[in-house]
Amino acid sequence: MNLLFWLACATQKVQLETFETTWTVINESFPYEDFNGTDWDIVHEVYLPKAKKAKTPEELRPILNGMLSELNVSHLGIIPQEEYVLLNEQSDGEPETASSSKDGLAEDSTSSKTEDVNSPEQGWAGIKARWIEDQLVVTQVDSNIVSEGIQTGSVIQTINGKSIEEVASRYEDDREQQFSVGILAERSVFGDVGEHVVLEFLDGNGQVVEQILPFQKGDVITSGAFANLPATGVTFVHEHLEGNIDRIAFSSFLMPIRSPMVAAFEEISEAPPTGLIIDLRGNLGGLIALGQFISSYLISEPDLDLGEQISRDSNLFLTIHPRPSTLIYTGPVAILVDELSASTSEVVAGGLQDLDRVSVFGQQTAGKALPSGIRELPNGDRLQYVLFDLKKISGGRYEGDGVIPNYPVQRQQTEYAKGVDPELLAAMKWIESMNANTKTEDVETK
Amino acid sequence: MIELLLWTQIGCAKHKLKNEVVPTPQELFDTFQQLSVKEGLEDVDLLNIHTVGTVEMALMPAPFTIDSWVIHDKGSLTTIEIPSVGTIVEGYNLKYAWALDPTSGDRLKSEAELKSAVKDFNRTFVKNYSELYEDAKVIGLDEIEDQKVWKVSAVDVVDKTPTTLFFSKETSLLAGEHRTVPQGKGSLKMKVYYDEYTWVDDMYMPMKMTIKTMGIKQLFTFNAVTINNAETPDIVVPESIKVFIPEAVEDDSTEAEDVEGVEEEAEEITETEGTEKVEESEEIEDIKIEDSVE
Repeated sequence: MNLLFWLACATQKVQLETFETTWTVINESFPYEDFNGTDWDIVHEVYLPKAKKAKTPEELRPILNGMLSELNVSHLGIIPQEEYVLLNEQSDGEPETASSSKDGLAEDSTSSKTEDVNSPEQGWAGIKARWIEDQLVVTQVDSNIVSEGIQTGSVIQTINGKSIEEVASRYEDDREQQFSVGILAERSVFGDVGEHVVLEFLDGNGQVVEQILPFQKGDVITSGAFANLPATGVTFVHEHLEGNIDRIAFSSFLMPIRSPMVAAFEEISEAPPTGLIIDLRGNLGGLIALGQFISSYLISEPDLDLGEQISRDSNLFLTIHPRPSTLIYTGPVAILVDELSASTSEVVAGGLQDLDRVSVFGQQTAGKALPSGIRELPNGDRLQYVLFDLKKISGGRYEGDGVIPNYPVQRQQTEYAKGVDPELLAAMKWIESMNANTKTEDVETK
Repeated sequence: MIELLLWTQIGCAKHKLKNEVVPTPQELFDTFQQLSVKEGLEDVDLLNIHTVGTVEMALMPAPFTIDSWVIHDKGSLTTIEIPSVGTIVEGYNLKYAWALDPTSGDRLKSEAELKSAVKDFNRTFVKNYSELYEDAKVIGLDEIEDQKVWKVSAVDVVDKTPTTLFFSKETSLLAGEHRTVPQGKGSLKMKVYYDEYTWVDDMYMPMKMTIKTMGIKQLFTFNAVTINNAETPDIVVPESIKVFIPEAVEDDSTEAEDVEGVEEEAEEITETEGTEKVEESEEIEDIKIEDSVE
């Protein structure tokens, strides 16, 4: 009996230590000393009595998450120990290093990782979907992967048995709803090759149809675990569209995109298109430095910045280091973003928009742009905490407001049903008009 | 930058200060300098230093490896292998400074970045801390990393940034520094702690260094350190950097000759066009602070 009592006391003590550690980490590291207007000392006083009553991590977690939510920012929360261990087991693996350079810029000694062969091979189910007009609409179908059944414009009812309507009903805020349902759809369609996702969707006759979509390797590159990110499937597409317009699309800013990006810009420099579309829709971010890298192909002037990185003890500028002039693309550039464009995507779109180098099309971005770290707590759970904030050069922050497109595009399910991608179409029309204007100016000059 | 945070931290326990009296900053600096070399030696002329080690960093699943050369008459070259990212190389050949960066892209350093590279290089060869800091004041006793230390506030002579130095009360060795490091247009506050001082030939150096910045902790462990090596690598501008230097193609032939001799190198530096940056480096090298310590 005594032993049990001692154990109960010891466990309770650990929860209290966990509470104090969580509060202290935030107290010492939150980027802003005014804690976004929250009195962090008062928060301690309010939550301490509740934490004292917690005997297990399960009891403590909602208290800690409640305390952290007072700061009202993303990238802050408690990750249960079991979840974190599982994440690491799934993503463990020796990284492979491979030569990356085709542009002669990094031949000497620079290499980058292109693919992790030890992590489970990642695949894609071949579709993308977004929360449009209060329904989850299929916005993209890769015909190389999905040959029949689900089509663009189809409305998804369930994913792996989970009701989309039920998930959406959890969110009152429209932006949060759009993001959360979209992220569920996005994450559900990527996974280990050999696994699959089960969807129920409405067909053209309004009938509910079930379809099993296996994850297929296709063009998906497996990116090994990096920092606090698990193994991830990454896609990179460089394609030529009508009107001699090029489109580059990639799903995240992780190392495997670097080599194809270098190759794409090499090709672009050899045969410059009339316009370039950088498609960051659904791109949740990654390494900020890779955002600086892609920008370095679009900006020739030195010493320009995409933004500023602020922490309690530093302010660093996200400077663009231009590539050699022969590789820089000088034509019109449109960036596509949507509600799932987050973090580094927002810095690239917003930074280049601030520099007047690009026009941004699509939807207001996620406004989730706080680089974070993960720290083990005394009770074994992990604290995800904000390391620094990202500020726009024009003022304001990426967190919260995100990036507002120069050209917001309204999306309708009926358009997708016709096979139209309204955001891409708007960008293509803009590039055509830019080139038409240039020609007119040329004629007038002559 | 990393390698150069380290290599003026030298000394041994035999000359330590008496504990009872509050020392002056100059006494702390001098004692630390005396501790830097073996008894009987006044000084050791550092010509080059080669360091091989690892860096453990929060958030990263595996340690990095680091290999760094700082060579008095050639420059510096640091190679860091980061798993899942690639190889980062930072070079400085007494004329140009560069970074081969697999993430943000290769670049020739200019302005503040170049100045910082030059400053870090010069710092390696400074013998007394009074050359690095001015307006030094002993604030009193403090405690860092579980040891009692003399806390000294000072101002960096080059950047004019505030610095706090911590000298162990027990051993008189430098235990830590809180520094502001200019980074391009911005700056970074770093807490640096030194540990496990070990003899490397005639010099006493810390084999562990902890850096805390931006909420991230980095632990450097130096497994192999050698000084005044007979053979040193040539530090030449990589091909991928030459594209950023218009005159680089012409310089190609002279560069190879330059690394052969110190005097030729110095001449090359002072006579080359666009020497604003080079002059900066000489300016820094020439700084002598006579009345910097109270």
